[in-house]
Amino acid sequence: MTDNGVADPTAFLTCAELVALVTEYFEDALSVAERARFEEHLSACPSCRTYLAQMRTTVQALGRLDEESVEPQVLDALMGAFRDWKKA
Amino acid sequence: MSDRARVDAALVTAVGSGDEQALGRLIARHHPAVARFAAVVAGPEVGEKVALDAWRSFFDRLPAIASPAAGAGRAEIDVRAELLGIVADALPDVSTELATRERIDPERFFEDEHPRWAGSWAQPPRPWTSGVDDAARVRLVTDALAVLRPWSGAAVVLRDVEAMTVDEAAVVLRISTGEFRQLLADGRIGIWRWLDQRLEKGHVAR
Repeated sequence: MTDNGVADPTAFLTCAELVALVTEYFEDALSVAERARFEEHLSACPSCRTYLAQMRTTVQALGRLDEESVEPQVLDALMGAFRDWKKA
Repeated sequence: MSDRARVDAALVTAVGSGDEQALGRLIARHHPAVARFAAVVAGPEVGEKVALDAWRSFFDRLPAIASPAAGAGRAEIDVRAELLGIVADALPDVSTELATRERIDPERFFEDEHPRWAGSWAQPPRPWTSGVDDAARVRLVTDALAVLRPWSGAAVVLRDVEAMTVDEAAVVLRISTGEFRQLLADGRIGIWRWLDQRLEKGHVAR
């Protein structure tokens, strides 16, 4: 068993193994051989292509989260903490 | 480093000399992200308090960051990473999450002993409903973040929301890059599962 949980590094990846490697694939953390096996599986497996596309959509949605503005009472609390810190 | 870090450095120097206007700008730039991270790390009920405490700790560190004797004049300071690192102190021991992986329901794959289809999808993912716009999807991932385990949620926020590199995020959490990628993978699977349960059925809350 490898660190990535893949049983045999020379065998065709299973769908379950590919699913476990998607983040390593996105983060470009697979070896050249692992990446080749990953892409070989993808080319033959429409279900895993669907899963990969959905994971991309998920990551993209996370990147679109907006930041809220600071509530006035929070700003007051932080300014108060800063003044306390200066006095100390 | 980034323009953000250069602007931060100037603001930190001003704040170190007592400039409240500069502090207001620093708060506006970073508190929303700090509060969001704290809510994921410590839970929504106490997230705001954890974020406030992080700022207090940050003030305590100001002399080390901003004084001329301590090497100030630093051209770049990543205040957000400093604050998020302080918030990360509220995380529990990482070993529990590292020991129990987040998985897609095993029943969705044929068992390892299956003579022909071992490890293949038994219930393959179906395309998500096309009637969901970006805004609805963003609302769903916001909800999903709230139900992730704390370390996995922290990893997802740092990498996918804050767009830190794996190396930067691992430093903030004080874990190895390998551990970080594992937690990130678990968090993404958790969010995918949350979305899949809702988008596959065409059901969108709110």
